[in-house]
Amino acid sequence: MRPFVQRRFAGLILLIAALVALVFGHAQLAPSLRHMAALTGWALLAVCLFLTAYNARKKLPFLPLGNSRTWLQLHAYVGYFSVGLFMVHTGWRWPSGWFEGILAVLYTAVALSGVLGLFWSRVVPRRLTACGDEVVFERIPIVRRQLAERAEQLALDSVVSTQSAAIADFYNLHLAGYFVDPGSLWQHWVGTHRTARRLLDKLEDLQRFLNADQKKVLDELVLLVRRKDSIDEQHALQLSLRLWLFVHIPLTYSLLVFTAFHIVLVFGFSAGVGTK
Amino acid sequence: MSSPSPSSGPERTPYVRPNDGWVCGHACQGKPCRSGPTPSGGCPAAPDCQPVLEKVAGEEKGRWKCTRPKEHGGPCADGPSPTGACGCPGIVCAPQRSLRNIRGRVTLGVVALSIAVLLLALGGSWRWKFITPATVSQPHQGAAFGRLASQNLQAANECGACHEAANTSLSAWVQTAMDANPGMLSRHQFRRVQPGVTPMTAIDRESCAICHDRHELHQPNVVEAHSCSVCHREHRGLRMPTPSDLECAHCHADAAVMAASSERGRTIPSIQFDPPVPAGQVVFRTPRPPGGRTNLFTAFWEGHPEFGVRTAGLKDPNSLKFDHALHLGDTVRLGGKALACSDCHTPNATGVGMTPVRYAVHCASCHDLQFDPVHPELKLPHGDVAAVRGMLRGLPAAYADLRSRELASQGKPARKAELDAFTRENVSRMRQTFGSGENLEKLVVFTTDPRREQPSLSAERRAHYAGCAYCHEVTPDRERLAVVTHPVMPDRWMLKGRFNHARHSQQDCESCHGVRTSHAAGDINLPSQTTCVTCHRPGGGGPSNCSTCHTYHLLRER
Repeated sequence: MRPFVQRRFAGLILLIAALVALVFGHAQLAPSLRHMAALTGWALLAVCLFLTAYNARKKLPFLPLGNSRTWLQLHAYVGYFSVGLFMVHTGWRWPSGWFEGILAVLYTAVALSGVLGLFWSRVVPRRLTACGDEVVFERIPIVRRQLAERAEQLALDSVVSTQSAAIADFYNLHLAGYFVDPGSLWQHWVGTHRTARRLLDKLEDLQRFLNADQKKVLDELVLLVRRKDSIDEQHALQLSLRLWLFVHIPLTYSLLVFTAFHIVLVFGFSAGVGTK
Repeated sequence: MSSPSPSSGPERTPYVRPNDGWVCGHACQGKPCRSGPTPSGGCPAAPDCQPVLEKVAGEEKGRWKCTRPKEHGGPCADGPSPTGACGCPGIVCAPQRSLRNIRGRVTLGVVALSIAVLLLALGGSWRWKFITPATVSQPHQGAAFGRLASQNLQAANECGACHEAANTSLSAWVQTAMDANPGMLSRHQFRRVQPGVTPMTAIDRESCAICHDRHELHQPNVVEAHSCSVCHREHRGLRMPTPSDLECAHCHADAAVMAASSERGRTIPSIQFDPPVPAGQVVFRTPRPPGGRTNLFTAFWEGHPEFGVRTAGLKDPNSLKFDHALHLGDTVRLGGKALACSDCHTPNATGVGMTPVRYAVHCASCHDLQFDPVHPELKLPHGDVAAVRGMLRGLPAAYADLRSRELASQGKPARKAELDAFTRENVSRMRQTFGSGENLEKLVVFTTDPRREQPSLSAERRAHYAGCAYCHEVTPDRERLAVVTHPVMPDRWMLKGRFNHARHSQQDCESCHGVRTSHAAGDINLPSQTTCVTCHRPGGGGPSNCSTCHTYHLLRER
């Protein structure tokens, strides 16, 4: 068994064991514990704070807090565990009040975005690998500019080298904008490559009217178009890995704000959970 | 798109800083500058190069040389100015926020929005609607409850009737939360139920108990008083849900609590544990066990003790001599048919219980209290020994009255001579049969077995000629001849629980009451707990939660 599979298997077993222990322990403790909801509530808060700490951990790379991969693993499994804890805390029912409803919606949104983000972060690397030469996200504009400059140069040089403006005209008409434009994010997220395919079709159509020298230039342009499409796909995919955090992280902090107020409400409006 | 000139020197290496808050304004064009924006987002635009002064040996003035890197176009044609300033001043860019920076701002924005939503929601008149976890139960809402809360509790609003915080300002909520009992930082909220003499929580006493003043007690030996809200879960819809078994198990499944309760119960007089009984109701009081009712159990079907009424040695206080097995057997017949339970036990108006068994209604048809086999229409009165003696001592008058009624029914006049003759004849016959009148009285009152006294009577008729002692406990009395113990038939047997016969009407009586083998009225023929569990358990078809039979509160009379 590969180490990754082993790790995932062990993680899943631990998670299931923890969830079973949670449900079973809750059923066992509930009869004798004064206020079970307080225990599960504080536990849920602690878990949420731990999950949020992963974001803080990334801001403090210089502290010896363990490597990010371990943190991510823990973040994922503890996140799954928190769903069970949330269920137990709410008594397996959906709150019907406005405030508690918002709180539950926030938690659900954070949890769902986390699960979807995790799934996406498993899918994207495979697709990036399929793209070929991987480029660092921040350097993509530079590579894109280089491709645009190279394509422009090829088109301009072809006028002299082939004694024909056919390729240059085609470049101006169809390719100039393409090389400058970052491309449609949706096309690359979905994986249709429609724009690139349409351009490649047009380039293939053009090829029938070109001589051998021009075809050589055109072949190079075809390669550049493919490369640009690959860069655009990398950009879209890498951007998506950053964009889902725009949902996950802000909602997490919003959840913490609502949770803090929830605690004040619970204790402030407590009808007396017991006696001192 | 124009190709901008780098602002502060070209990028020589693929040095990217994704964690920085700002990126060069030219980055989107693929031409970020080497140094990048300042931490505060400013463009450190400066001459493209740092001209270097080159001096040839012996030369005094020297020559400024352009150092612009090749990536940014190489040395400029004009070169530096004579003063050493760059000849191609850079173009200042507008640094852009990095994705991380934007995400941070979005996060701050969302947090600010969350706080704003909270403040808005809590600031308006819809504050209570916003924070309420769910609909309040019907009795605890509406204008009537609002008036009640205002009058009895001086509450500012309906919520304030139960929640002190609702009577304070928004800013005081945090302090109220800190002062909660137990507070949010108190470890008491995690502790297990511990024995100890504790009153109800302040909030219960100050709110719930004001209106529900008779609901404070459970049992006098309770060592862990829960707040009302532990069992009565408000904000669960218009109808407050029935307390769950879990709440009962909080104490009844905890050995320490039960041991403490048992210990405490020993110091309290048993009478204080008796539930109040409605006036006129006859009840059977089960003696309190020495350790109290402190058995450990989690549910009715799991560990619930046997009913106290079935404690060994307990007897029905009914002094009647009654044999259930005989009456339901083959010997006794009513109208040619065997007796059924319903011939004597009929549901009361509500169907919850049974009407008391009465002599005139349920017994007289067989036990008619006749004493003269020649004139069976003469019957003794029931219920009073003095009345019986009175009739027997006035027997001549009874015969005369009987004869006059017979003649009247035949349409003949009742002549005194004929009445006297009839009376003399029968009194004489009775004297010959029973001896003196005193002897007749004793026979009528003390005869326990008519078969022995009057062996010539048929079995069917024997019952009609039984003495008082046949059914009753009769003790001789010098002045009153005899005292008949009045039979006591309890209306309720198990005071700690409730039972509804109507809801069990589909069951055969004998499936619960095993009276076929009961030969004495002293037998307590109530079903055992095991019998009830047959149905009252999960999957048994009947409800099995504690509140099906029990009420937590030991209601006191006002």
